[in-house]
Amino acid sequence: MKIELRNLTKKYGGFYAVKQFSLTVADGEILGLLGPSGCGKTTLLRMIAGLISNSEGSIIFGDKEISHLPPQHRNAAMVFQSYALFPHMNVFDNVAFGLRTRGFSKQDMVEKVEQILDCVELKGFSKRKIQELSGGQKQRVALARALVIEPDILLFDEPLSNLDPKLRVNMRQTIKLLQRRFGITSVYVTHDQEEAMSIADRITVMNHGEIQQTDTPKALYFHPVNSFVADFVGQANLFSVKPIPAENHQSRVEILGKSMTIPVSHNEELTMAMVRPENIVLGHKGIRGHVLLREDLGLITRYHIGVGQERVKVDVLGKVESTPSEIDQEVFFDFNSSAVHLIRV
Amino acid sequence: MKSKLSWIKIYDSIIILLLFYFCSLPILAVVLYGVTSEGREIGPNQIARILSMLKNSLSIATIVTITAVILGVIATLTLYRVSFRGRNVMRMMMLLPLVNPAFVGSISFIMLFGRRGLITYKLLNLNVSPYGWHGVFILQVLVFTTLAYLIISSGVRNTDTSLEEAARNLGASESKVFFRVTLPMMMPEISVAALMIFLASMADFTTPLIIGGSFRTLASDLYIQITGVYDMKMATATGIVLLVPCIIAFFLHRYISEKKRYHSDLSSHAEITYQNVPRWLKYSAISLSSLTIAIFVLNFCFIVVGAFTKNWGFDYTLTLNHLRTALDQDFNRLLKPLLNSVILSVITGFVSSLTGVLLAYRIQRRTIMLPKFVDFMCLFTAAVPGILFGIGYLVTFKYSLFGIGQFVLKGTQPIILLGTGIIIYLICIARSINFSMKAGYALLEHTDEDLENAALNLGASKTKAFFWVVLPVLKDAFVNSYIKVFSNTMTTLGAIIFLLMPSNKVIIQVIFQAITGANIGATAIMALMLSMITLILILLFYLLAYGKSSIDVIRRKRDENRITELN
Repeated sequence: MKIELRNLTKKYGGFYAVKQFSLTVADGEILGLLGPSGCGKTTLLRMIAGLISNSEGSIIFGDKEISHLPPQHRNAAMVFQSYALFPHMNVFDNVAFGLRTRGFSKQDMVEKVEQILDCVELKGFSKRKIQELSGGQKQRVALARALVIEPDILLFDEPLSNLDPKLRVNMRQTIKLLQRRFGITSVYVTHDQEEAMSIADRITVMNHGEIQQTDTPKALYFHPVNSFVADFVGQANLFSVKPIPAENHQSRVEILGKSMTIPVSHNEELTMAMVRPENIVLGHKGIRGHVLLREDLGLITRYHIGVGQERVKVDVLGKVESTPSEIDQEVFFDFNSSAVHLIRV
Repeated sequence: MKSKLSWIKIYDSIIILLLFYFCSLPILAVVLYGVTSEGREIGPNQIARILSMLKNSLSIATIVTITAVILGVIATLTLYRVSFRGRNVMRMMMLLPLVNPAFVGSISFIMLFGRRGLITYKLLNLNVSPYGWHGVFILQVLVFTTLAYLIISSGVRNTDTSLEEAARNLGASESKVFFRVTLPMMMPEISVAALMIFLASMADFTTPLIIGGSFRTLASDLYIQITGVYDMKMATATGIVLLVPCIIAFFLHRYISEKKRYHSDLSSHAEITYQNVPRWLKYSAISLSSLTIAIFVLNFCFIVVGAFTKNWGFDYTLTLNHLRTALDQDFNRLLKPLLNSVILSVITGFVSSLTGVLLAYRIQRRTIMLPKFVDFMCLFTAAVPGILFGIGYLVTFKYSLFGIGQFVLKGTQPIILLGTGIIIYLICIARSINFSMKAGYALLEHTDEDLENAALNLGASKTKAFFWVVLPVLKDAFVNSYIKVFSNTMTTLGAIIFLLMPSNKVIIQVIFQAITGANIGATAIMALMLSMITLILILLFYLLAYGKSSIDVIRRKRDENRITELN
């Protein structure tokens, strides 16, 4: 079922938690809502669920405006950050809760619960107490509880933030596979960019209650619209620039003393240049700097290089033995004009 | 949806109004009455007398508070931080005084140290009197040390031990670790304990009456003012003087605890013990705590012994006479008051727990009007001495229509609460709600905020979410609150003593009258019966609430011992 948000706004006094938010989530799509804590993403999710009322704007499921409906009539199941599993019920009763409110017969209930527990790999857990489960198992119960009612919409509120990194990677694959299998339109809130990119079809980056950019994970990474998105999604080197119009819809910029022409038509708003660390190469000529810090991250080695007042991150892929490692050692690096993207501040 | 909302508002308004009527109005009434009512002028002599009693009250409360808190801290550290054999048994015995009504301890005190006491008269052949301020001091310290220990030990168990490890790691000596880290981290519990003990000591009128002799405190004088001469004007004036230091202590504590709000983020239940305690320190700590416990045990044993001794001080033959007399007595003299107490405590426990815990839930979730005001109204009653609260009811509800009938609706049939049985229930509930609220807050502190939301999200109606999720989740708080309120009400006297009628006497009042009549055997047997019945009913209630798993729950509670006085 399609979700459409129109000018959705939440005001607390004079403070806008969410401001004029308009977005469409296609049927069957999983949309990531990414942003730092306090950016309004959870507020937005709770407005969709009906747990917080919206100050202005409308929420449309399919073609029905539902923002006046109480949460119990929205059929938008939520997976909470804290899991919110009922501590006085066992696994079965937790998962069956939504079926019970919908008046299912005992027999149907047992059948459906067993089936869904099987899906989340918790077969035989129905009599367990919640307190006896591990974090990952609790997460699976929460997921099963949301899926079993066959909701029109699935809402995820940072569901993996309480799990350890290894389990998190595992669970996000489970979530993605199940969402695909059931084809339920989903909104997935997280502050972890990797998690968002791995799970979502499209990602909306939010800051201060407003949309920064909505795009596919790839597009966000390679074509961020502003410095906030560039910095929030992946690693980025950002430089303030004053582009000068050049011929053939190009712009001329100067970065770290290096002058180059970039195939972007001149636009007064584009006063930032972004270069991804993996697009910079170390060598024997080019821009001179000195090593501030070296991080050995396994797959890549990340250098932090000082050039005057600026600080540049450079990622080198694979084994590096001939490259510099001493702090304060002099290094040279360079990048192509194709690695430079002009963006808004 | 709109009209439903306004119904909730009307319902809330009624609740708030009732809370105001029964929790706040009586306190205001005492002050108003003391200031405005006509009667004998209070002359300089009376003022001097009140001031001298104020001095008595304040000095006894202060030294009792300090002594009990220090003993409580020592006992806590000994029983939780020093490892030695038998400390588990000692932890259990430390709680012994909780089984008895506060003033019952004075029986064994008189038995041992009284004019014809076993130790002073029989063994040492002394002719000393226990009556006076020192008697009051000793008895109050005995009772309140347990309270201090309960509150403070619950804190020590919940502090993050890595803080101490961090201090040691940074090179602090053991004594520095204690004074700069351990003790400051215990401060929140210590200050709660100090406040509770100070208030309880100020409010205690029974101990000075029984053992104070000519030493009178404001609270004991209040009792005499009303039962003896029925001088309301004087009583309310004394009451105001008593109220002021209590209110100051209450707000001081509130101010300090809000300003110095810290607690460790992480609470580990791992027990740590001090490794390098100097021998002399270790053994003096153990012996001091053992001494305290020995006195508790002795105290309890002598109540049992006294109950089965013919005539203490004169004839030490064992007898079942007291038990027989007690049971043979006219129904109205012992069993009816006992029954009254039980019914009163059960009903008060239910109503107060249900109201208090649900109020705590709605205040914490901010779904009630004026949450801060409601919270304050309920918690403030804890600052008011019970006997004064009772006087408040006396002056408020002797008028018709909730105490305001004298101003409106003249000439209609008056409904006067004073003199009815209901007023006893109302005052007990009003005084208990603050305990229930604290039990609610304590549970909510570690309860997921989203449980109700999850229920709504899964399609439950508000009513279903309430009955299927909210109520069951709060169950532990209801049970904790019920146990606390039930046992409190069984032994509460101050608040209701002026409101009781011969027809609704309670057992604690009968015991009090027996003890002031110096009837040791009868007092001891009744005190014993009261303790046993309270214990049995608490166990029964656990069985009712948790069924087969009761024993696990009790064991868990003993281990956690989550005391709800905190907050």
